[in-house]
Amino acid sequence: MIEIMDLYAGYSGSEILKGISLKVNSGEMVGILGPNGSGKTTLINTMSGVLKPKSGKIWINGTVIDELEIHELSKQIAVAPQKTEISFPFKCFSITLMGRSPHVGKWGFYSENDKRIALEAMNSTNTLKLSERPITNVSGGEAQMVTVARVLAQQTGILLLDEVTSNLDVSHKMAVFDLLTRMNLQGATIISVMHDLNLAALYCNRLVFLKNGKILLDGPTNEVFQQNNLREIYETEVQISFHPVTKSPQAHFVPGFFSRSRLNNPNCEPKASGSSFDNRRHKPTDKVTKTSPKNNSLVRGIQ
Amino acid sequence: MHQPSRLDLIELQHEKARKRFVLLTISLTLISIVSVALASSIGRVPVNLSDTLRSIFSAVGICSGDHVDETTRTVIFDLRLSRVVLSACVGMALSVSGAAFQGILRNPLADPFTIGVSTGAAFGASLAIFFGAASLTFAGFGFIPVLSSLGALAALFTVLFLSRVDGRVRRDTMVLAGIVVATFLGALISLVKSLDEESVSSIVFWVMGSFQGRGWSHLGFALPYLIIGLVLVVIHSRDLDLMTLGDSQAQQLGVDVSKTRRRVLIGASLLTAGSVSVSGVIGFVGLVAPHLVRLTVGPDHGRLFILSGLVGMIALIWSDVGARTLLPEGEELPVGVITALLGGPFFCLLLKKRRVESGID
Repeated sequence: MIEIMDLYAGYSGSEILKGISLKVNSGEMVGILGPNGSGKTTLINTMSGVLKPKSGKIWINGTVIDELEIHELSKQIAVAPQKTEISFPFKCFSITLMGRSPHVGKWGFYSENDKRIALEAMNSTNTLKLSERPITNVSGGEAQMVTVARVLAQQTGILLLDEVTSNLDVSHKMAVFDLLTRMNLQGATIISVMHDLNLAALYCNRLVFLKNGKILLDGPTNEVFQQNNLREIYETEVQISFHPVTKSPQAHFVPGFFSRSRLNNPNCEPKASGSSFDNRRHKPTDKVTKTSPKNNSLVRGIQ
Repeated sequence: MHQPSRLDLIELQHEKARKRFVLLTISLTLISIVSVALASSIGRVPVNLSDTLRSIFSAVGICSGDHVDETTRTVIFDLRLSRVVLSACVGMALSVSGAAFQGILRNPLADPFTIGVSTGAAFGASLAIFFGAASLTFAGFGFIPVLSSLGALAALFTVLFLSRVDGRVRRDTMVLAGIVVATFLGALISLVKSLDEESVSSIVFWVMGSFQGRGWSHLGFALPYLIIGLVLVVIHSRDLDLMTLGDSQAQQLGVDVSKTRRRVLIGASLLTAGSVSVSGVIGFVGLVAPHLVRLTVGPDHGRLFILSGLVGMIALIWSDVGARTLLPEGEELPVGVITALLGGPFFCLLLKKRRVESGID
């Protein structure tokens, strides 16, 4: 269980999280969504103890995070980062085995049991075939799968995932989230930062939307995943339909909206209308041949 | 079934890697022992191997040295063996220190020499001598290594400060900053030595490194620093592995990152300072040995420290043999000349290879 109260956090000079309060109970699967720069990664970093809050409190399973030793915390929370830059060619197996490090005594070595757990984690993420290859020589997607294996090997009750499927193709994305769902059913608490709204709606039963360092929305997927909410948060036109199989809500963003909103902005060309822009986009030959002064200035406005 | 066979295969590969590591450790240990004996028998007055061994064994009281005359015994034990053992220890220390710097700074181009730490240590030591502190002792330790350690740490932090661009430390910039700091301090060393009206050879000693005239007493005063440094670095082998993932990920895996970084940087600086205070600046050993080892057994720091320590020993023993035998009539080359001649081209290869591999950074 993670409880956050009135959290302010950021990096030197800039405050990114501005008053976050959030409670995630054991066994929940929560998706954290929001536009770029809304503070999702910062939230993950404060929850994992890497970034100290400027004010506010965080409890991990009932203990204030500052009172937990780094080593103790790593037995309770595993974090999969957005990306990893490694300067030395460790084998993918060694990377996965590093997930066992919190369970190894201070001077100890990895036991046979640790190695077995690491191999099982690689097996369940389908990365066994990579085990002897250097992490520096695999693709971005493969490296992400190895990271997921490492997080699984850590065997913690809480998993924090930061866009862990961003480099993966559809089948791997689904495979990772199917796996996470299975772990969730077995009791793991999963908090996943995501950009893919539809994937989040498919797999998470609760969604938290961040914007400008504050929580805008927090609730069961079916209640918060609605047209008005998404339109407001992402400032983009959106339509909602329902997944034919799972009945989860799915968002479909409408093209051209961003440019239209800029065109309606008085700083841009005042006479330009959205429909003429859309026509220009969809039937380019049509408009380009009939270039009018109005259209010229429209193009300038866009540029 | 498909999966078990793949697991068996992986298990087999790990077993093979383990065996290869053990075999390498044993053979490199044997080679170092043989190298010590052979290197002691080589010199201006050649002594055959059996007399060399008899002299060594008689000096430590294992057998009587009746068959070998007194002078030979003194030459072998007090002059040559002491120097060979000292060069072995310095070689080990510089390699381990290089491996540690590379790991903790996440920079494969780092080495006590390329990041200016060695020259910082040499500057500290020459200051100690300039102010006549050489004969003072500090808590039972000689004063030179103390100032030498301080010089090493000061140079290290200067280089780290200079190589930070927009909050990020860049690999190439770090080496550049290291060379700038080393050149500057090298000039200061020359200045201090000239003010002290010492000979050019003593400047060369500090800047290019040499074991000329070094013996058991020097080993005695460097050894505490080498041992403390070695312990500080080696106990963090696994933490260093984790820290190659970056600070936040290491912490999320339970590493106390700032404590580890502090200890490893101090440990590696002590290894460098202990070495430099007896041998001057010897470059490239700490760069070449860890890289050769990584190529054969991979980047795991536990194995890396053991094997590169051994490789560094062997490399420096033979470099020093070269330094004292290559020139005719008993004249000596600074041993740093030999290591730079061998290591310089290797460094260029490495720089080139890294650029090809990963673009510019």
